[in-house]
Amino acid sequence: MSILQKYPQPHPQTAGRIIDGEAILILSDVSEINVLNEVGSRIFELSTGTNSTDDIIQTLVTEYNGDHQAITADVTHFLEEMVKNNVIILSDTPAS
Amino acid sequence: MNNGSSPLTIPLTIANLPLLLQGTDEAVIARLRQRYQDFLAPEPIDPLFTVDINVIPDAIFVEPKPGPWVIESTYTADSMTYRSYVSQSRLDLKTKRGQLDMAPDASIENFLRVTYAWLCLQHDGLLLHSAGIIRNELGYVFFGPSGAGKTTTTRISAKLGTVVSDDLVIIRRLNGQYHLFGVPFRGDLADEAPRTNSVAPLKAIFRLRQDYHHEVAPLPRSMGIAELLAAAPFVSDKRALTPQLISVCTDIARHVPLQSLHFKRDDGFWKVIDEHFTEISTTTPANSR
Repeated sequence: MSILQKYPQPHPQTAGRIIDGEAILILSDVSEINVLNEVGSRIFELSTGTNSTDDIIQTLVTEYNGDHQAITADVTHFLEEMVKNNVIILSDTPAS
Repeated sequence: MNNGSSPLTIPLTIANLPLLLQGTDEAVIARLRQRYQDFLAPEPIDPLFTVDINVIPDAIFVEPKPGPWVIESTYTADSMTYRSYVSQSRLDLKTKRGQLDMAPDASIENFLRVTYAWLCLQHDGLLLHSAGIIRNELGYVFFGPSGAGKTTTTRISAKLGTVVSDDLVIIRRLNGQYHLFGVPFRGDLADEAPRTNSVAPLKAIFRLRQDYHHEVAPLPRSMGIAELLAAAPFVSDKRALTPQLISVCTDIARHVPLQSLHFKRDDGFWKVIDEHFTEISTTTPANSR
C-alpha cells in the first residue's frame, strides 16, 4: 500500500499541541522537544488518523494554492521523516 | 530512637504546597528539620501527602557506577515512585500516603525535587531549571540549559535584589496571579544563593542568551513554551505528564511576559529590563496584554 493511501496519526509516545499555528512536540522516548514550522504544523494537525496522506495533500494544495506534485513530494518526505523519528505512525485503515 | 507513640514530624511547605514527612529516628529527623528549617510550616498543616520515613542502615537501592547521577522516577494514575542510590520512595496518589526509604545519612534533596516537580504540575505550577531574583518586590526568572548563564546572572544580581535561586525555582499560580517561589534546593552558589523561602509576584521570564550586548528580544510564544517545557526537570520526559505540562507552560506563557534576554557579563541587563517594561507601561493600555 502506498503512503498516499495510509492514515497518519501521532505516535503514542509523542505529545503535541498547536500554539499560534506552530506544533510543539514532546518526544518522550528521546527526551526531545521540537517546534514545527507552519506547514509542518499543519500536516501534523491534519494527521488525526481520519485523513489519508492523499487527503492531507489535497487540503494543502487548496490552502496554499500550490503545485500538486511538489506538495505531494514535500508531504510524503515530511511524513517519512516523522515516522522515522517516532512522531507519526501510518495506519492502513482510518481511526474510528 | 523515639520511644513515644507519635512520630516525629517535618512539616514542609514549599510554594504553599504542604508535605508532611514523619519518622521515628530522632537523629535523622533532627538533621532534616535543621536542613529545611526555612521551609518548615507552622504546625499543624493539612498535607497533600504524608510520607513515612523508613531509615535503613547501609541501604543501597542503585549500585553506584560511572556516569550521570541516577534519579529514576515513574508516574502512573495510582502512584509516583522515585529511586536513587541511597533513597527511594513510593507515594500512593489515592491514599495520599507514602514511604521514603533512606540510608541514615542520605540526603532527601532529590526526593523532594522529584516530588515537588510532580506536585507543582498538579497545582498550576512548574519546577523550573532557572535562576530567580526578586527585585523591587517583583520576581524575575532567568532560564536556559546548563551554561546559558543562570549562575552568572544570579551572581551579578546578588547586590541588586534577593536571590531566590541560581538553579531551581517554582512558578505557581496563586490567587489568579503567577508567583515566583524560592525552593530549598542547592545550586552552584550555595553561599550567594541561600535558598530563601521567598515569594513575589512574577514580573517576567527570560530565556538567557549570552551575547556582546544587552537586549530584551521577542520570543515567539510557541518557542517560549517549548523552551519552558525543556527546562522542567523530572517531568518533561514523562509521557503521562506531558498534557498537563504543556497546559501549565502554555498558561504561564499566556499570563507572564516570556522573552529572550541577550546579556553580557555586567549588570547592565537590569537597565534594559527596566527600560523595556517602562516602555510597555507607557505605550500599552492596561489589560491589553
